[in-house]
Amino acid sequence: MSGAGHGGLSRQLLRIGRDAGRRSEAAGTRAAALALSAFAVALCLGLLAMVHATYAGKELRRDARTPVGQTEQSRASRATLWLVGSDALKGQRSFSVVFIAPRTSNAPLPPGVDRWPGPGEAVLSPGLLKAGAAEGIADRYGKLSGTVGQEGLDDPGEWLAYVRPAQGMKAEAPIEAVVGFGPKAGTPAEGLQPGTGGDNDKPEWMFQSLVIGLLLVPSLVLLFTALRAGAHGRDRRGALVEALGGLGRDRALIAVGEAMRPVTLGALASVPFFAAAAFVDVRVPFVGYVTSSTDVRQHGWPVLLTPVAAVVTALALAVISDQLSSRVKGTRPATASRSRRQRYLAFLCAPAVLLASRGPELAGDSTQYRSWISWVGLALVVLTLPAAVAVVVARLGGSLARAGRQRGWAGALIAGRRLSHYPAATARLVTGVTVALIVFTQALAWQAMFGTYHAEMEEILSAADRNVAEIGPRGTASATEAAAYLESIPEGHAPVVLAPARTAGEGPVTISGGCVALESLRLPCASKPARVDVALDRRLQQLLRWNTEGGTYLKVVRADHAELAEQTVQSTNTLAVVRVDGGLPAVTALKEASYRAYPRGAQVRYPGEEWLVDGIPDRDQGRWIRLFGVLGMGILVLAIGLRGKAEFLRQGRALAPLTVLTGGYRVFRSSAAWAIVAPLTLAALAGCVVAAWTARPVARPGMAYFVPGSLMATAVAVVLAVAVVMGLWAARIAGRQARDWRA
Amino acid sequence: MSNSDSGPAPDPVLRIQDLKYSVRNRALFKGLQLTVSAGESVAITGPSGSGKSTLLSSILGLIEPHGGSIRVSGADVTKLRGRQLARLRSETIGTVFQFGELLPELSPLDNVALAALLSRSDRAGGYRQAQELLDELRVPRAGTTEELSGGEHQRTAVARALINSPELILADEPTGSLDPDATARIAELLFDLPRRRRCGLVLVTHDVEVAARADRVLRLEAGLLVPARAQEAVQA
Repeated sequence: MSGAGHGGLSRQLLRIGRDAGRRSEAAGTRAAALALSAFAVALCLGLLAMVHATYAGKELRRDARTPVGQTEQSRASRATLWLVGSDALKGQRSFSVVFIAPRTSNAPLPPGVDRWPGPGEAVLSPGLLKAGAAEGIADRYGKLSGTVGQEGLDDPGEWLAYVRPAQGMKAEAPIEAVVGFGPKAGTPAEGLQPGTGGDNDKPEWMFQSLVIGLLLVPSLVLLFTALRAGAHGRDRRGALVEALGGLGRDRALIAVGEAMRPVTLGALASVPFFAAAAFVDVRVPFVGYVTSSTDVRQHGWPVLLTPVAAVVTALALAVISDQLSSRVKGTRPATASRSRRQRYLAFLCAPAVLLASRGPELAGDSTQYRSWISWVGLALVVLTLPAAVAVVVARLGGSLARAGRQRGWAGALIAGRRLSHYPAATARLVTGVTVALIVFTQALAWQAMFGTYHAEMEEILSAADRNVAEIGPRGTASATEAAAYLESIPEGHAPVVLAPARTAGEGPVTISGGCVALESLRLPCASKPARVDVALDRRLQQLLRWNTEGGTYLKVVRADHAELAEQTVQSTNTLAVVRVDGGLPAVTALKEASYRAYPRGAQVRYPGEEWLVDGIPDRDQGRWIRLFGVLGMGILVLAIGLRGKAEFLRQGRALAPLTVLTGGYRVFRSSAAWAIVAPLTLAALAGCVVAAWTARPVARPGMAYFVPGSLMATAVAVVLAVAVVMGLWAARIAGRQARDWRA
Repeated sequence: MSNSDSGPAPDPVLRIQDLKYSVRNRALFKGLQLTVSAGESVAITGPSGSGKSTLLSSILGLIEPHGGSIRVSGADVTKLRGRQLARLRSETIGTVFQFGELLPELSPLDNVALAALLSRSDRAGGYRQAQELLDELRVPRAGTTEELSGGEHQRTAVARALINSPELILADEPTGSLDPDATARIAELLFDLPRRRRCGLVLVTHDVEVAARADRVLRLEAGLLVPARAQEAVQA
């Protein structure tokens, strides 16, 4: 025979693989699973590229809007007066409010602002306008003169305000004069940078780790699961090709031909998502983050090439899984064997769990190294777990078969023999459940880590503590400005001023106010100062708790607005506003009034709120974890379901001939219960222990236990319910195949 | 020559010398010897577990023996690795497995042509020859091998073994799953091959009637190949 060109042979082997893929057992299930998993992998890879694009884009824009301070050399040039302040929406994270004013006629404008707002005008980001609409944010800082363009924002959803005070700004500390923005204008002054993203955003590696751990790994598990659907027949084919003189390359080509079509279709299905993200700013559900189409376009090729990367990954995994399958050792159909490699891997599982749970302690306080060690440990757990489960399942299967034989339980005998001879199938099922539980607990633990601080503060600051507002003018405020503010306080509200003891812990804490305010706080209102030893009103207790270091008693002084205005000028004193009827103060109105009275407005908060606000960015970013965790769980559940269906088809086919021995289908139900429900029940219980154990390192030292027992119990209950459903499903498939076989 | 071999053959396609192999401390081969000439058929019988199939696996290079040599058309299988071993399997040896071992998802034609493709032969020629062989062996055209009867299945397996014109054909219980009529037809087909194609045939079987058609009948016993006893010959 003449030698064939490699091209012709390769095409033919690819075609044979494609035909095999269409006609093999569970072909439809496998193709659907492959397409879905390639889709999931492509989405994850694309997401990784998008995350990088987002971080890179943010960095660029942050650099471009960082002010360049005025120096001796640049003193004569154009300059803008600049001061970064902050504000917050109710219960939300704080954002930058930048006060700007032109110092020269050609003063530079920050990126995203195309013209100078007039005195008393403000330019707000679209995200802030939308989020603060309910609080009337558009009018809070003065008249709205425009919106900040995307080139001046971290991301399209960023909250940011540029405000030009009506009274102008003076070029004195803390106000800075800036001569331009970004590296092109000189050396940027990081300390003057607007925006809170730089401080609040988690490092890129941490976000990428979350995507990898919670989404990509489950997607690869789904992919591997899909590739191994109907593995028995595929392994036989590989062995036969080898016996006929085929090379590894030939097997690889057949494997590629078999997986190519569904994998390509699945990966291509992800393209519209990224194409959309390249042209439209997309709001991520649940998290509320808005992606930047500009960033996606700037990294367009890496993002759009991710489907190709997904196809290559999937095909490479197809080849690897084919090459890893047990080698042929004879001329008979191979039976399942428990290889030495499997036993070694099984023994490695325990050290892997130890590494995942205790290893991070070796890294000391370095969050980055702690996380990496934890992830490596988790990866090793996932890699070694199937082997460990297979060894255990094989042993248990033998015991079950013996018990079935002794007691005459046909179902237990059949299931036991199948478990001991084909432990890999059950191992994959059990591993899927355990990995799903690991992903679940990791998501819980990471979210708990992010949200613990905020949750603790929420607990400390109960709703009752929010019935008093503290007003802290920004910068130095005059008595006239303070008087103007006091005059503008909404009706039904009354101010008081708290002055701390002159020496901490010694002498009285003085509280001044009108009779309405004092009486509302259950204090006497007399013409002469009165002494009060115990504060009865809860609002007063909170004010004292957060603003004084303890005085020996309370000195109550009646004062009118003019006197109060004089007192607020002293920075050590605290201006507070209460509602006369004891209800929640109108914080929004108080904030808005502060921008009319004071040049740079005032912080309006309830006592201790700054502590709560500090935890909000972490709380918000914890939502990513919940989103990714839920998606990852979904992917794994899908993997388990598809894996299960393929295995049930195989088991059903093997059991079908039993129908000649029995008129009913009880044996199918009992064998399904023993082969599926029992291992999954075990997986639910043992998986929870492994998952909780491997999630330990995420906990901060001293943090309360992060995975609530009730939640874990719910997870176990869900897995048990899934086990029962899958057992019934398997019994149904076996029964149907038995009927078909008899027919 | 060996105690099991009747004498030196002029042109051996298979020469096994001093073959040793043990499984779990049980010696399957204790210096086994075998020579098969071109055009000669040898049937190997023996009790279950005696190592008949293991012997064929050793000849294919699927199992690495613990001692001795196996030469197929002059090449020592025990010293070949990777590509060379694959080439020997695909070009020099044809194998018929007990249950045919056809790929159920492929057509009979693809199954046979696959062996030709794996030997890097001409693609179109391989398919043409595969069809000719299937026609010659009266295998009907079908979409998948699952549409074939047991006999047709095994005839397809024989066609696959013949597609690369091998010098040595190995058959492992080729009639084990067939009815008497089909057994007789497959046996006739196989034992006719050495004469028609000048190849060697080593056939492992439990069926004494099938074995009796071979030029020589050997029995694998205590790790050695010995001529079948007179009683077996009579039975045969």
